[in-house]
Amino acid sequence: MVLALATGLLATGLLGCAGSDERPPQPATAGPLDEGWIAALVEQPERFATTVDAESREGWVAFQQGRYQQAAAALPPGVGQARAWLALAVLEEDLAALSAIAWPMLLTRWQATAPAAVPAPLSALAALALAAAGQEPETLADPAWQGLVAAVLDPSLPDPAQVFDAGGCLLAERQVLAGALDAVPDACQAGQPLDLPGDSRLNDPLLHAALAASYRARAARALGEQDLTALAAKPGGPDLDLLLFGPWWSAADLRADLAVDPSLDVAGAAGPTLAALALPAVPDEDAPQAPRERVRALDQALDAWTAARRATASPDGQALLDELQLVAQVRGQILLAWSREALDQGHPHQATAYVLLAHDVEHARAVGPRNPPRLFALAAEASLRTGRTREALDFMSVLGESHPALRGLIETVGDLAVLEGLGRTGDSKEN
Amino acid sequence: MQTPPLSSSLRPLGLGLVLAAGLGATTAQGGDLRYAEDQAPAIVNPLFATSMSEARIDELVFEGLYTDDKDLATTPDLALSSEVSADRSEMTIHLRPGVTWHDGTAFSSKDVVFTIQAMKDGGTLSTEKGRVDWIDSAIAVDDLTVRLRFVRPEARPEDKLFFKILPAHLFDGTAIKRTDPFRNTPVGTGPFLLDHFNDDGSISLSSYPQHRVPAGTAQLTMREVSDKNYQSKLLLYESLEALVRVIPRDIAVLQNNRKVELYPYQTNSWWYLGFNLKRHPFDDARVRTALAELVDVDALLDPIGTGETLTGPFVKSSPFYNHDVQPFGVNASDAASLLQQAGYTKDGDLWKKGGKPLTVSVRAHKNLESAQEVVINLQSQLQSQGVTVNVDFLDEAGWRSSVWKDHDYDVVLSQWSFDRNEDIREQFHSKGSRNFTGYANPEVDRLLDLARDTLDPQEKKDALRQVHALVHTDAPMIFLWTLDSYSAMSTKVRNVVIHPFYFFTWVTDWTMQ
Repeated sequence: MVLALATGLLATGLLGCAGSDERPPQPATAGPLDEGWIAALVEQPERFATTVDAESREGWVAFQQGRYQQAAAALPPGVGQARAWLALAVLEEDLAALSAIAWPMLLTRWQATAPAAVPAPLSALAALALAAAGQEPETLADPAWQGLVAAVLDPSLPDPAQVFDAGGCLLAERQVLAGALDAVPDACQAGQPLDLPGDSRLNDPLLHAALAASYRARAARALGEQDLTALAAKPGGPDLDLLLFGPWWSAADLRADLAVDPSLDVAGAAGPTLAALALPAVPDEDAPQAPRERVRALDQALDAWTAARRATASPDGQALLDELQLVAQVRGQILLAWSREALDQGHPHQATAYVLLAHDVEHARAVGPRNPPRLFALAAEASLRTGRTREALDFMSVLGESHPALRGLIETVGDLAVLEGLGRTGDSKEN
Repeated sequence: MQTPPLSSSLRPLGLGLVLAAGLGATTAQGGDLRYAEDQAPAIVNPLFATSMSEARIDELVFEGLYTDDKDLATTPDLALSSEVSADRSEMTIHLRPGVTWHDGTAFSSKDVVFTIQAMKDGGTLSTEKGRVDWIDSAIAVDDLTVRLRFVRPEARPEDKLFFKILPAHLFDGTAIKRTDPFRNTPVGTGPFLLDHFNDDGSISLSSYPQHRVPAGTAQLTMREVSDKNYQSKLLLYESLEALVRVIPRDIAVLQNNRKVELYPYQTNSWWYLGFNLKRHPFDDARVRTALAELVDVDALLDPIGTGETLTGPFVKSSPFYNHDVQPFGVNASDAASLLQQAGYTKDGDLWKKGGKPLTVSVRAHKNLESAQEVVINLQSQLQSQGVTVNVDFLDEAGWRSSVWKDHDYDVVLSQWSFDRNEDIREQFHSKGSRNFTGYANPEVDRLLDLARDTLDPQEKKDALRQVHALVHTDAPMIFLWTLDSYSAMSTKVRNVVIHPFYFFTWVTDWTMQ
């Protein structure tokens, strides 16, 4: 639907108005939201068509819809393609964080429920998941497996594949993590269990971290000699392709993000625009109400601005606002950045509030412009960290439809959900 | 009006006295939170709760020994602490002191022992019986100590002690009938006490002043509003503060209203058409499969909203869902072949056997959302394929009597909702207390027993995936779909966290702005 709308806009209205001298009247008073790429586009809608057609309309539509692989494939090397790879990298980093939580939980629960039945490699795999996410693995790994964990993570040590994984995926992934291999082999992305000794079916704990590393490397290659910070600081403002469909309201927000964290994994969470809106602070308490109030304040500001802009915009400007839902998309990404931030700060109930308010439940089971892939990864992590393992699977299964690499982690979290239910007497009711 | 009619009744005198006296209670902050149910609880007695609306109101009025905390970890509720013997065969539970029933009587170990004995009593025809069959005996050691002996060692018995406790002093014996007057005058220990069953079908509750956690709202009102569209309007016009379930087609308008927030309330629910396997010709798997192949499930789902069609008794995100099982799909030629094998021939437009047309009587609960739309479409689909379909919509009393008691139906349209354990044993085991279709397959029984007893999660997953495949093949039900399910709440209600199944578990935290 959105593809059709976007294509329609590009093919008819926007291309048709290119070069028009007509400009909508300016709002009476300027506020913090008036300085930004959406405001500029509403004023000059022809810039949209110029930008997307300069690279690949198909690629930008895919990017807006959260189909980043297709976007990266369709967009030529440059900023747009780099942003598609970066979006994939951030998604995989979120999934690696989810993996780093799920594996130790699986191990701990299994040890508590049926210690004699814990599969031998489980502690090592849990340690690997932690290590790949940059966390401390030693406390988890069974001493007998610690050497192997170290070997998998350190390519200078002997090849552990024969003992650890006859299929070779872990070996390939350690090479990707070390920058010695470009990509994770396709066969390792199918969500199949590792080829391990014994009967248990355990999946690959390194996959998402390795994919993230590989996508970051591709983003760097797509940029070539260009540097995001320099591009963002370009005199006269950055080109639209650096901001389009991103989580930043303005170039100043992007510059602020890059100054704090060039990895952009919480991009959009803060910045001069949000600071100027003076949104209510959220106390250091893991409860959902304060985040809800903060989002309401943001919505109030965005709704007022959108209504004012719509009233004065040209038909093409209105079409951009309404059909492409640009404001809703930025809002959603800001909320997801807040969610990531809350998770990183150990506040999963806050993160849940943000991610649920970001979720476009009218299209609840589909990745799309307002439901980017990251939403499902963050919702799954927040669910898992608030004891809602079964709900985490609801979110993961949506993402798994378009993201086959996730199938292994779905099985891992599924095992955890089953373990948590062992010995319980379930309840069921009609209607 | 709900059925069976629950008389407009005042709570017992004792309750009124407790309220009037106040007894130094902490008072609630105020406000009346009004929420809508499609169907009012027919009974407020947790022993006989069969519907989600009953489970939700029970969560307000009653308490168990243990409950979920907000991270869904098992936490003591009426229990204070417990010890399990070294061999895991016994558990000593120390009860919370100072708890009183809503009529002012002190809660004690006798109530716990009574509840377990009542659930186990053969004279209590409760579908909850399976929740205590792992307990061999319960003894009151003293007023605040209970000792449970298990049938076999239990790793985490507290995870099974969520069932609600009843007041022993309000029953004459442990064989409890569904019709016991308690259903009209329920007395619990929960955060809300039931004030009135009102003439308009609504139920008024007020916060129980003696409860250890003061509720953030002074009153709750359950309103029965069977028209889902009207429910949404009432919320938008601020005549309600909460809708338990929003129909999919109203999600967009509610999501776009800044005075409303939506909360996922996915209760692992699925719709089905259930056959009466004790009635001919539905005891013949060929006939059931043929009917399944004549039903276009996607076309039935389309008008009622967004959801996912299913091939078995789990939702697709379940770890137990068997993704290798393919849907029957619409296959008229295969259906014809199966019907011919079962002795039917096409006579004109109708399938007949021994001169009698193949006739299906479909029954549905009149308060099941969109049931009329689904059943009428089903009737149209099957009749166009030569199957005569009679439809009947039953009220609660009719449903309980025709479906559960007398098994007087051919096919029912209904929905099951499951907590996070997705335990289908009671529905599909030949001895299951909720197996009203009469389904029996020894291999399914074996696999369900294995799933119940194993400590290996992957073995359990494999067993239930096999059950999925077997149940699909046997077709005691035509599995239809799971719908996107959300609750809607006015933004005036603050600090809301919804329990994924019981909804109201943390209601004491909710406050009204």
